[in-house]
Amino acid sequence: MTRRLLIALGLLLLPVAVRAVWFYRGVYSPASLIATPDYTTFAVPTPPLGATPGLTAESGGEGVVLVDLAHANNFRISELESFTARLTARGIRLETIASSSETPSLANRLKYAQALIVVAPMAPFTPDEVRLVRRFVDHGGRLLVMTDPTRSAIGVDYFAIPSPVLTVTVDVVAANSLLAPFDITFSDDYLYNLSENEGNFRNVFFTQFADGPVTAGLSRVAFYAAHSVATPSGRLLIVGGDHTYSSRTDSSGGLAAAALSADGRVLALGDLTFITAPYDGVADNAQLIANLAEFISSAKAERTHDLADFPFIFSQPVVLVPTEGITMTTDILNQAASLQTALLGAGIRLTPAKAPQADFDLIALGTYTATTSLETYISPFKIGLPDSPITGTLTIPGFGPVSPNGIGLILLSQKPERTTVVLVAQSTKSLANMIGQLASGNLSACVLTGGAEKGSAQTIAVCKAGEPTPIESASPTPPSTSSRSPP
Amino acid sequence: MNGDNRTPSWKRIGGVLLWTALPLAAGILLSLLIPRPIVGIIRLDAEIDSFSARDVIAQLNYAQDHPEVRAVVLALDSPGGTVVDTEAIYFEMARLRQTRPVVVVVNGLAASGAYYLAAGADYIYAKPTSGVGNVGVINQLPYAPLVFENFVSTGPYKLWGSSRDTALREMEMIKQEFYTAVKLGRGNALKAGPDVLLRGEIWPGTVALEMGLVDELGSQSQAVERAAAMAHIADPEVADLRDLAGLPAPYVPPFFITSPTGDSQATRPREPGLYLLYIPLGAGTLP
Repeated sequence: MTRRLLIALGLLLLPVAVRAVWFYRGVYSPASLIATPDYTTFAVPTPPLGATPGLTAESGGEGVVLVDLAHANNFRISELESFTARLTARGIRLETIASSSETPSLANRLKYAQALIVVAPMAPFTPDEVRLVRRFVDHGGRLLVMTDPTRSAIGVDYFAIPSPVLTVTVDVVAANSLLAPFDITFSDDYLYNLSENEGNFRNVFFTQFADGPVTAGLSRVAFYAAHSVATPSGRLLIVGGDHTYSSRTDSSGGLAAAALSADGRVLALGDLTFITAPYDGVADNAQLIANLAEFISSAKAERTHDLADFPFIFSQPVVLVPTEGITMTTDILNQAASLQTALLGAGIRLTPAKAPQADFDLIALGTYTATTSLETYISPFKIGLPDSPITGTLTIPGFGPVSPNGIGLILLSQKPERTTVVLVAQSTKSLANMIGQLASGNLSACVLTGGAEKGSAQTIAVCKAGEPTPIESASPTPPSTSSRSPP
Repeated sequence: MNGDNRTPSWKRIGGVLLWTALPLAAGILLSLLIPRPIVGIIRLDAEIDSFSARDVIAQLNYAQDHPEVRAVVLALDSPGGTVVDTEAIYFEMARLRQTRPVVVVVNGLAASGAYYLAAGADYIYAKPTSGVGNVGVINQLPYAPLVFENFVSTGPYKLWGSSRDTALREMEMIKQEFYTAVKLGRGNALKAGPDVLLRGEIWPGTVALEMGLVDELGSQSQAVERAAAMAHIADPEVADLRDLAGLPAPYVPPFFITSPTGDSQATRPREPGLYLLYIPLGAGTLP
C-alpha cells in the first residue's frame, strides 16, 4: 500500500517537475549593482569669476578711435561697454563710421585717428578701403579686428525650388579681406573642447599665451565660441590646448584664437562674446579687456603723419610767416583763408605772424628769390635754390636737378618741438596756387620724397604750381643752368 | 481447492488506473498551473514624450507585476525625446532589471534619449546599419529678459524660466548625466572616450560595436534568446506586452511643429524644453 502511494505521488509530481524543469533552468540574479548615475552629485557648472582691474582715469591719452559700422557689422556698441569705458576713461574719443559714403570720409578720418576697431563685419572691404587702412597702420595706427561665429547671419529662402535653401553669411570673409595685407587669416570655424570647458563645449578655456603686452597678467581666459586665426609671419597670442578642436577639421593642436601682426599693430581676435557682460568677468577676461584698451591707447605715441595727412600733421596752433620779399597779394590771402578754414576744421588755429613763435607750429612762405630768412627754413632739406626762378635749376636731394619754372615745393619737417611746413614757388601767384593745394589736401599734382636731415621726419613734395612761364616772355636775364649751392 | 482465487483482470486494470493513470493525469493538470515563461516585447518606435513614455512604463509595470514575464526585450527605433520622459523610462527599467533582465534590440535608430535607455539595459543588439549614439542635449535658449508693459511678471525669469546662460549650463549638467549613464551602463565594454562620444555623432551599428556602444549585431529573435538565457528559461512564449497589458492604441500627437495645413513639419519640437533628441537637418527641412 505504501508503495502504491509513493508511486501515485511520484506520478502526480512528475509532470509538474518535467514542466518546471523544461521551462525554468535556474534562478535569475541581477548584477550585484544596477548602476545608475547619482543625479544628486551633478551640479550646474558655474563660471570662474576673476578680478576686474580698476578703472582709473588717465590723462594724456587723448585721441580718436574709429569704430566701423559701415560694413553691416553684426553687433551693438553697447556690447563693448566694458572695453569702451576703459578707452573713454583715458580721454579717448570714439567715433563711429556709419557708412562708407558719409562725410568725413574714411580717408579723412584715418588721418587723425589713432586706431580703428572693426567688429563682426558682414560686408567686404573695398580695395581702396584696404589700401587706406594699410597706409594707416604703416603710419603707426592700430587696427583691432574682432570676429565671432555666433554673429553669423542665417537666412532661409522658403520659396526656393525644389526645397528651402539655407544661406549663412559669416564675418570672416569680410574680416579676411581687411587683414590680408597683414598676413592674418580667420578660419570659418569655431573652437570647441568637450572635456574641459566653461559650461558648454563651445566655451573654451585658454591657458597658453605668447609673451607681450596684450597677454600680460593672463593665466586663463574664456572665449565663447571663437574662430581660429592663423598668421605665418606674426604671432599667435592665445592658443588652445590639445583637447581644443576646430569644428572645420575636428582636429586639435596649436589652434589660436588671437593673433598679432609682425609689426605689432594689428590684433585679430576670434571672439566678441568674452567682452560682453557677464562673460567679461570670467577668469582673466577683464584683464584681457584692460590690455586691449592699452593696445589701442598706446597707438598715439607711435602715430606718424605725413603731408597726405594734412591738416593733421600739426599738433599745436600754427603761425603763418611770409618770409622777406613776400607780398601778401589777393591770391595769397584768398588761399590763406582757405588754409585757415581747413586747419580750423581740424581744431587747429592759424594766425599770421612775422616770425616763428614758441609753442606754435609753422607755415613759412617764400619764393625762389631766396632771402636769408627762407634759407633758414630750407637749409635742413639741403635744397639748392635756382639762380633764376624760370631758367635756373632746383637741386633736390635724391631727386636730381629740377626746373623751377611752374614748379613749387612743399617741405615738411616734424620735430618734437615743432612741425614746420615751407611753401616755396617761383612767384606769388604760383605760391598762392601751392597754398591752395595744401589747403585742399589734394597733392595729386605732387611727387613726394623723403628728406635728408637726421633726427626729424622730413617730406619734400615737388608739385606743379601753375603753368610754366614761357621763357621768351621772361625778363631779359642771361640763361643759366646753375643753381645756388645749398647752404 | 477450486480455481476461483484469481483477481479478475478488470479489477487489476482498475487498480493500475487508480494508482498510475489518475495521479499522472492529475499531475499533468497540476503542472499546467506552472505558467509558460514569457519574454515580453516592448516597442518604442516613436519620439519619447509623455505619451510614449507613459505607454512604455505601463508595459514595464505589467512585466514587473506578472511573474510569468521573466524577461523583457525593448525594441527601439527612436530618435529620443524629452529629457524628463527619458529619465522616467530609465528609472523604471532600472527597477525592473532588479528582478528580470532587459535586452535591447535596435532596429532603425537609437539616438540620444533612446540610446540613454539602451545603455541602461543588460545587453544591446543592433543591426549593422542601425543608427546608434547622438549623445548630447539640445535646447532652444530663452530670450534675454525683456520688459513687456502689458504682460508683467514678478521676477526677471518668470516668463523665460532662466537666463540664457543658465539654460546653457544646465544643458552641460544634463550632458554629463547622460554620459555618466552611458559609462555606467556600458562599463568596461565602452572603448570610446568623451572627446569622441560627446561630439554627438550617430554611428552605424558596426562602428558602434567597435566603440563598445552595443554588444552584438543581431536580430530581435537573438535578443529574445539572449533574454531567455539570462533569465534561465527555455521555450518561452514571446508576446507583445502591449497586447498582454490590454493597452489601447497609443495617442501620438504631432511631435514637431507642423504647418496649419499639416503638410509640412519644421525641425523643432512642438513643445519647448530640454531634449535628448536627434533632429536630422538635411535638405528640404526647415530650421
